[in-house]
Amino acid sequence: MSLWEWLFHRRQRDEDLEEEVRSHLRMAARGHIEQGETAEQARVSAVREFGNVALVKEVTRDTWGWGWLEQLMRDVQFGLRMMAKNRGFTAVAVITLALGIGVNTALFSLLHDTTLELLPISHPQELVQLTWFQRGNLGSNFNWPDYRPLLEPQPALPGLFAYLSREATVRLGEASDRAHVQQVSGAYFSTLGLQGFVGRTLDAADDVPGAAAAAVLSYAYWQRRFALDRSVLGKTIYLENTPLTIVGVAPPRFHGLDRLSPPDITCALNAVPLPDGASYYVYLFTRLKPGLSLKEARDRVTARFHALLEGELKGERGWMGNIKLDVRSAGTGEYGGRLELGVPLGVLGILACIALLICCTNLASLLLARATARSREIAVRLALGAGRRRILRQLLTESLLLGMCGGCLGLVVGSGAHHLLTALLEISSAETFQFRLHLPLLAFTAGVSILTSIAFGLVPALRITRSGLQEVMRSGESAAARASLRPTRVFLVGQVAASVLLLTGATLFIRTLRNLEAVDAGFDRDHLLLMSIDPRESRYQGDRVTGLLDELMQRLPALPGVRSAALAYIPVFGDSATKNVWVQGNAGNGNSAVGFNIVGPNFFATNGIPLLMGREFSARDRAGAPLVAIVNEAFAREYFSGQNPLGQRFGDEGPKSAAKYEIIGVVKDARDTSLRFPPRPAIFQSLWQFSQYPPFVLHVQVAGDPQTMSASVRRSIQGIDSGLVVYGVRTMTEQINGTLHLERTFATLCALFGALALGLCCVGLYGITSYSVTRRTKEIGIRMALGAAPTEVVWFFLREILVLVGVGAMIGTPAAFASMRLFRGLLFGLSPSDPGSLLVALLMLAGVAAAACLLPARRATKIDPMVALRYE
Amino acid sequence: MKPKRERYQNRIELLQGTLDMLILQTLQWGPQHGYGISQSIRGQSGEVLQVETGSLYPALHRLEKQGWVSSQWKQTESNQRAKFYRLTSAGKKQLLSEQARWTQIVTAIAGIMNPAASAGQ
Repeated sequence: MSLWEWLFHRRQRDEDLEEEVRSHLRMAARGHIEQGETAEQARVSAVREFGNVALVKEVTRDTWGWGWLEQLMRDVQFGLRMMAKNRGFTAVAVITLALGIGVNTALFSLLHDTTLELLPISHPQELVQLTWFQRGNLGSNFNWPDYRPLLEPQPALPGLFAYLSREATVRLGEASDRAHVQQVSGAYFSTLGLQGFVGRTLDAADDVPGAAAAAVLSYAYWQRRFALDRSVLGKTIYLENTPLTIVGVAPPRFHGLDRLSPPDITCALNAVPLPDGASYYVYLFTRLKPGLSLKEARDRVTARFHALLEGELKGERGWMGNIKLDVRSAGTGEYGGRLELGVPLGVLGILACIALLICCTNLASLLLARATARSREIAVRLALGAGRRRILRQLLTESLLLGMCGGCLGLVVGSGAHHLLTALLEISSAETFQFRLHLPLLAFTAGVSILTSIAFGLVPALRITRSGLQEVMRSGESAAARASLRPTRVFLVGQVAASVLLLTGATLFIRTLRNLEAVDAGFDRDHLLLMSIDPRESRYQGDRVTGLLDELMQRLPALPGVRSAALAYIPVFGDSATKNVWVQGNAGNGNSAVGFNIVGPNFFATNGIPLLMGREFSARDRAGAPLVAIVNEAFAREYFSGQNPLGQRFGDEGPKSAAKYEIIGVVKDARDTSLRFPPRPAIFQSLWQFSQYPPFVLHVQVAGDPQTMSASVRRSIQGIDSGLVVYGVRTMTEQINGTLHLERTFATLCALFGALALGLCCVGLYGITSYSVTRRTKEIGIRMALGAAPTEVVWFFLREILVLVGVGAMIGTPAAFASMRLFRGLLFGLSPSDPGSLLVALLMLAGVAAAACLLPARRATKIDPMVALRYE
Repeated sequence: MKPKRERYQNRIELLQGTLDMLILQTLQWGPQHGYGISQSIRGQSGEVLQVETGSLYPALHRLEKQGWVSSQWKQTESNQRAKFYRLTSAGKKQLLSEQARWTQIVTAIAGIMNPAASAGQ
């Protein structure tokens, strides 16, 4: 019968068969009655002649063809009932599996999206990228416009295009915004084979210098900024004073060729001028039609490059001569940015696999412990005639059920872990990397779940079904199960050692972070807001810049919640700029670099840096006035030890310039690049005397929490001039945390994996103790009957665990010290062999271990000796 | 009077294919229910072939699955409900081919068991 019939009509079929058998028996009985038997005798004879009614029905049902499915259903039902009966065990198993599988799933999702997923263009396998190799370095970015001759007038390969990415200010009407801009050559969209989702894309006609500049928006940008409004086509936006007409929107799933920096706006390379003062790099791609091989392409490109070295690039031959060009397959996009992720992802991947492996071994040992309780049931079943394979199938089905549940929960865990990972790896374009349940991910999760189920379910299942009935009935356990748990113990010792290592690391990193938090930075950490403003890009030139900044500095402190504001070239903390100085009358000059910043009036007051001597910069210190500078304590100590530095002079352009600046003030030391290192000598110049260095960093001191104030401050500034672009708004705390990224990453990773390892240890210890208790029930019964106290019984098992944990700790401690030594550079205020951290880790471990084994041990004390003795 | 119960039942194990053929042949004489088929085979073979229900019913259901017989619930003469099996046209064809095969096998075996007779032909 068909599957449809089986699903919906099999009860009907069963009843049919029942009826058929009954009618057969009736007719057979009638036949016997006709032969002279009584009704009762006839009935008995009929049944006897028929044979085993149930067996006949069974065999007939087998011919219907879905016997295996029925068995599977029954196994699944039984498995679910078993899971419901042992809720505690099921919960532990499912959670353990979910954690292990979830982490792997999250990593796979990231890996897939960044490196495995083909670009959503037609025939992505044909896409190739040009790379260069020089002096042992491999790169994919090419100087622009140096490599322009590869594209024009005839491209070196058909369909060759170039693109570059940059951040720029974009203005629509009165509102300005920072956007990710991509400038492409004419063949970009046609080679990639992309049509506009609305409107059109760019082509070669748009890429001519002087052409009316057109822009194509990305779908995400169109959604975010214009709310999918189709009337945006034909509108004009301004890219740094160049007008662009919006002509179309790219397809929804296309995020550019580098998913780590998806473009918002795409325009032509030649039609839109690039701002001066920066160097630009392009990436070169093309599509290899089936007739052209990689080798041919490489040869062609190399030949053209050499021709260029003889011709247009003759002047650069000096340093470009030893460049080798190559063509590589690029169906998954631009590879350069992904290399950065490669190592961390790889490390995390290995850790996740190890975690999963540990999960499996733990579960296997737990299952083995539980299986001992069922060995009698299984032995009886085997004796009654069940096939070994049938029972194995049923046990594996139970494991698979656990695995599937773990997998489903793992998807939930995975989405959370994915979130954490993108934050950890600092992937900023998070919206292009969402945790979506697409087919490769589901297939991966299913596959991992199944493999895991088999891994932890097979060995216990095999062991249980190997037992002989007599043995089991006699001694209450099977020889196979009694066979040593040595592998489990070894694993457990390893897990304990790993836990010690990770927990010690976590403690060390967390304490490092706390030490760093407690450092006196020398400036006000809690009330500062930082943001970048760039008047230059927003139509302001020359003197208007100064006028704008003046107005800004006057109106800002008047805003509600703002106590003080100041401008600077770089932030007071986090970035670094140095130069050499020559101090008048000081020998040994110009050899050491000092930190420097160019700051406006009120800078030190805004940042909470005390002024020790002299004055801050003021409106007096403008262009044309005598050049002045402020120095910090360290500078004064270094160059004027003891003497009053006010009035002294120094210069920054060689020994002859030693009288350039007059020192008018001394401020207290403050940390500038990192909280770790003590402040170094630093000088400060007046912003009004050097205002050709935008963008500026605006420091705002607020009353109250800077986080809550950031939106209103930003709005106020745009209220002053809506054309002013404000970006990179952050609190000082965020700025400081940015410099501590590595430490925080390690602290988080160690803490997470330490917790995971600890949890797994807990499960493993619980399993092993539970198994011990079950195995020695009779022995415990005897001991208790002979007068042993419950505490003695508990100690009995506790001792076993303590030995394991002790050995693990003994291995883990030197391992922890050794590996922490590798990270010595990341620690602060602690030595790698800090005993306090180790102690904390050991205490945590001991506590968890005790808790884990206490539960089964207590169960041992509750054993009624009479029951135990009779428990065969 | 009680009929003598035979102590030794001569139950010949029928090969699956042979049983199928016998069932199809029996149904050639008209639709019949399971009990009727087993009685018919028993009677026609002179009490030699007594088909076990454990073979008969699986065979019937298998034949139905393959489309050589079809089944229907009808009333018997004594007004009882029973499931009647009937030969389909595909079944008729199958029967013919099995008959041919059977004849072939029988001739072949006869050739071995009675070499004189076949040599004489």
